[in-house]
Amino acid sequence: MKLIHCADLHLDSKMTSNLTKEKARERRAELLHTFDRLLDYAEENRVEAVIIAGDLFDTKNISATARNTVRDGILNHSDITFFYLRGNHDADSFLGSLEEMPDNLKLFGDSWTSYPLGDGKVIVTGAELGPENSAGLYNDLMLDREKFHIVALHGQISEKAPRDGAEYIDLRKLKNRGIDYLALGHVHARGEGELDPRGRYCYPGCLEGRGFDECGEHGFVLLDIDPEAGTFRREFVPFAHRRLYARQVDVSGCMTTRDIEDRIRKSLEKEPVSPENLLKIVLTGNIDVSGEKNLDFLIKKFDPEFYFLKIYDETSLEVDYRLFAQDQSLKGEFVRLVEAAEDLDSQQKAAVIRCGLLALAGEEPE
Amino acid sequence: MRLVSCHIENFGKLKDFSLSFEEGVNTLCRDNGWGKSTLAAFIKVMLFGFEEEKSRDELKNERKRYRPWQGGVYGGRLEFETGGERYEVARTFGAKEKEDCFSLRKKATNLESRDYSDAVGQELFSLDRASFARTVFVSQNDCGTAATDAVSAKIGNLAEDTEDINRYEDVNQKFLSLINQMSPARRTGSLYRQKEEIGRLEERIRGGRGVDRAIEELLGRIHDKLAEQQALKEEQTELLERQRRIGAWKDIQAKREAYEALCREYQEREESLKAERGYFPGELPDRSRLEQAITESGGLSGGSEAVRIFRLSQEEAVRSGELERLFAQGCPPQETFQEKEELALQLQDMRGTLAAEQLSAGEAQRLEAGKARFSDKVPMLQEVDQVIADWSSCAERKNVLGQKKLTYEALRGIAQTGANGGGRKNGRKSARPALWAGLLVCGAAFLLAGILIMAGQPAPGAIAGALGAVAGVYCIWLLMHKGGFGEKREETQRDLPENDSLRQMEEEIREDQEFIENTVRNTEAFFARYGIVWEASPWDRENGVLGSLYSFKAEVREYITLSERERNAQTDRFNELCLQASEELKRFLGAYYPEEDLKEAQYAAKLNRLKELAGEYRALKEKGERFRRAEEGLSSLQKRIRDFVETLGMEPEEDLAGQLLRIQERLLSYENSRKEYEISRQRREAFEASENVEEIRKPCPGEEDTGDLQEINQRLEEIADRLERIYGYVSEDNRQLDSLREEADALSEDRENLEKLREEYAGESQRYELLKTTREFLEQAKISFTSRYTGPIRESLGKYYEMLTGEDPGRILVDANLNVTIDEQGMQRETRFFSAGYRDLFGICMRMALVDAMYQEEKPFVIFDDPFANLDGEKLKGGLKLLQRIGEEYQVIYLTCHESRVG
Repeated sequence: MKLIHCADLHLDSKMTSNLTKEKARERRAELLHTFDRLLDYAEENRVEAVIIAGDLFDTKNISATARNTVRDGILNHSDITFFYLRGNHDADSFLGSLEEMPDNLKLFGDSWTSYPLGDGKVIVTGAELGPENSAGLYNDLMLDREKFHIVALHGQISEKAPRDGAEYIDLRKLKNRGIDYLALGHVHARGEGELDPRGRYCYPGCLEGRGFDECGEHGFVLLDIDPEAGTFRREFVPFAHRRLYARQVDVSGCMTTRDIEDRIRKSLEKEPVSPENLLKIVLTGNIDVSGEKNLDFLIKKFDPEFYFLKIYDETSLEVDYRLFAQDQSLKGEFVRLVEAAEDLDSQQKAAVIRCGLLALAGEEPE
Repeated sequence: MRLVSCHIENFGKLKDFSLSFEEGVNTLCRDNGWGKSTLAAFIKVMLFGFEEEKSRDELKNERKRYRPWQGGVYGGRLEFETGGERYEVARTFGAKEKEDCFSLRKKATNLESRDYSDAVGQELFSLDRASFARTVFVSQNDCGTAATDAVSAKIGNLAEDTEDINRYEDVNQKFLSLINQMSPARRTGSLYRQKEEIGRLEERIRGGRGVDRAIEELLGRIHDKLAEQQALKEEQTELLERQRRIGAWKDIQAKREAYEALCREYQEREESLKAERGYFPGELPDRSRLEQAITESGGLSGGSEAVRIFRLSQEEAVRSGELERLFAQGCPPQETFQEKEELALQLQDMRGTLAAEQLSAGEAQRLEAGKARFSDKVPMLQEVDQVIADWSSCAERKNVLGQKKLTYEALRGIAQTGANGGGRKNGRKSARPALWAGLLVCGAAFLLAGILIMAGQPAPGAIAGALGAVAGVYCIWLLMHKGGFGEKREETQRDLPENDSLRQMEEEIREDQEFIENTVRNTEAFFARYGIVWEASPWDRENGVLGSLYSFKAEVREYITLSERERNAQTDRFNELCLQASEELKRFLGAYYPEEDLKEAQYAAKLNRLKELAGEYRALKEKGERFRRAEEGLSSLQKRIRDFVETLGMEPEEDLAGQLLRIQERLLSYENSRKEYEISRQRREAFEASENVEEIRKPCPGEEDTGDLQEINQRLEEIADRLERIYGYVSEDNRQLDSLREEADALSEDRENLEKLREEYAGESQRYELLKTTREFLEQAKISFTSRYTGPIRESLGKYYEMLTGEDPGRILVDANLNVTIDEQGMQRETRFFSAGYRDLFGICMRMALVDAMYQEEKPFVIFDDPFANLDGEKLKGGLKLLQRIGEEYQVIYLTCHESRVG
């Protein structure tokens, strides 16, 4: 019996923090398309059930397209059972919009709800965590050890309640309860581990990375369960339409934009990034205060090579005050004055010096 | 560096002017208007070119200002010495800069040199034109000075890197401009605008907080509705299950009842069939045979009726016996009676005829008279009729004859007249008189005819009409054959028609006369032959002949008739026939009436009576025969039907036809019962085949939960209604939710924009602060940088000030920006607050102090264009003394207009 465990799809996510409106709209459509592709994958691979361990939607304000895509996807795959555990991002708006609850859509409440699968040897149990039930829910979990149990939860693994009252999962309280697979959601990075000698817990991560804090491979976990033996195999299936990369490039010693470009190029040659992906380049290192650095030029240069490119300048300016010690010019006087300023830190001094030197050199002060 | 000489070709008012310069002070004292300032300007222009080239003001635009008054080549030469080398600069000026010519030659070789370009002044002094004007060129009324960037740079003697200090003012302006552009305090500042936009977004977001609350409320409402919907659906499901169970039970119950009904029906049909079959003791009657018997039995009533009808009554039987006896020898057929009746009629006719032909006495008398009169010959009626016709015709012709004659005479006269006229006149007119005469006669004839007819004389009227017609025909003939009024008829033919017509009329008249005469003669002979009186008077004769003829005709006719009757009455054969007929009839009748002596007059009545009796006899005979046949048929039919009934094992009843119908009815009833039985059986078997009878007969599970189906249905309807309403509410709420979500999206976008804007604002603010800080540091650096050479300048300034005024140079102060202040009564005062003489004094001193600082190695020449004009006598002395001292170190070109200012 095959099951898909996915979570944190965050459909209808705005995604405008990095992207332009047009690209954000395109990415939203791609998220929906990825969900559709997941359903097709499930159909083609004879998957019996899809467990969505929370945050199917990003916001309570769901667009009609997202709502209809999910609803039609569920209705059109009537042979697949969908276990939808609502996460902290989900609201009732999707369910509220359904004129009739599809037979193949199974929901969970704030107490444990179980659904048998197949001939009843596989049981999917879940509960939607909240500030009220996070602490006291575990004691109510009673599982028949004769059966294969999947337990779905959405929250952060923690041994104590966070201050903000967010949902948390105390793995200690779930040990030795007969759980074979703890299907978790909430953490956007993939992760898994041993729950107890019998079971494992797993975060599949988000289905598609949205921001540069969600770099790396994203997809879902495909479970292949042998109900008779009570065993299962799991496989992570990379499924994201695009990947996000954050690449740090040390440009120390570069005196010109061209030097920086060469440094970036070398980095990309070493670890290539496909054109369909999103890339964030973070420039690091120390640059001489008199060095020339034009980020606009660099973006113009590299942007066409990727779906999206962002360059962050996290370099530090380096000032060799010795060079200006004997400089009997206005520039030398200026640098010495700034150097002597006590109310500025070194980076502020460097910034002021760079700004002044650029201006005195006839360039636009940065 | 020093000037050697100059030659002006044409420059302003100066023309072909040459001047040599010595080392030290070169004084040129000329009257006002000689062109001293023009000479000074010439030297400057030869080194730096023109300034204010683009100005339309001719005073400012030097190219225009110094255009040669008298025309000629615009320009000149200037020889100078620097670095031990002498050069000659030659310039000529056109209307525009591009028309200018420049050349530099080394005096030693007189070859063109590239040691300096056309910016020779800037290259020599490392100063731009403005800085030159502010330092070594002290013009009249412009003794003041200010340190330009170039001056500062020059003063700083930082020849290896003077770009930054040169650019300081630009940089400072750039910073100021940027700071102003970004200023958070100015409305045009980008930070101000960002802040405003942030405020607007914050305000919008504050205003939109209600949207989230509304969405929450709406979602809550939808949630409640959905919860209710869910509960209702669960109840609906439960009720539907109950409904289904009850329905299933009711189905089985209905089936059971149906099956039981089928069984009951089957049993009833079976019993009914048996009962129906019991009516027939034997075999079931064959339907066709029964129908045939019924058809035949239809004849029973007819037969009985026939027997009843044809049965002879007692009277008829007696009468039949009597007639039997009458016609013992046979009853003559109808034809015999018809024949005898005809014979009797003939006899009667003959007897009548005989009686009619008998003449009366009068008639016999008149017959005898006739015989006497017509003893010779009996005239034929046709003959008499001919005579009458001739006489009538004769009378008519007589009547017309007169007219004809008149006409003839008239025509004849006309013809003669025409013939005579024709000989005299043109042939064309020859027919006209005859025509007019014809028309006249025609008209007169018709007029006469009309009068006669009106007068009751039709015959003469007709004749007159005929005459008119003849005249008319004649006229037509004339028109046709003679041309009438025609023109082509020739004279040779003109007499012929008139002659023919007249001849014809003559012939007719003659014929009429002959006829009349013959008729009168013949009629008279006829009268004489038969003794009819011929009147002597012609008038009586004319009027009486016809009457006599008609009377005679009547006599002849009567005579003929009477003669015929007399002949008929005297025929024997006729009598014999009467006798034969009478005897035949007597014989015939006598056979039936032997005892009666029948008279001829009784024959017809007797015959008629006998005929009636014979008819009666035949009718009774026929009736009796029919009765016999009806009786036989009825008996036979009854027997057949009885036999049929008996074959069915039944006792024939009196009313056989009724019995047969009853049998048919019962048979039909039996057959219907049979069909119903079969149907019932088949239905039961079909039910048993389609349903599990055993199951149906078993008690139904949940049979006790019959519930109130009506109540359940009612509740289901209520739930469906409520669900529909909820659906409607949820749909409406969802629509509202969509709308609110759009607002929420817009708010979300606003929030994102706000966040971005805040980030941008923070970044911009940081940059703003950076720019401000940088500018401040640059300003400090500039001050610090320049303050380092203000000391030597102040020293130099003090030296010159003391030299010029003899006053304590300690009062003179110079700041880092090279602004001069004077310590006056404990306050540093700017020079602009002093008198014009002092200002010039300070300016000259400052200039020379700057020149000292700027040109520490090769000293330049200094031009003084009457700078002491504003000085009083004491200060003028000092000024001239200063000039001598400067001349010791610099080449001085001193231009003045007054001898008093010459040292």
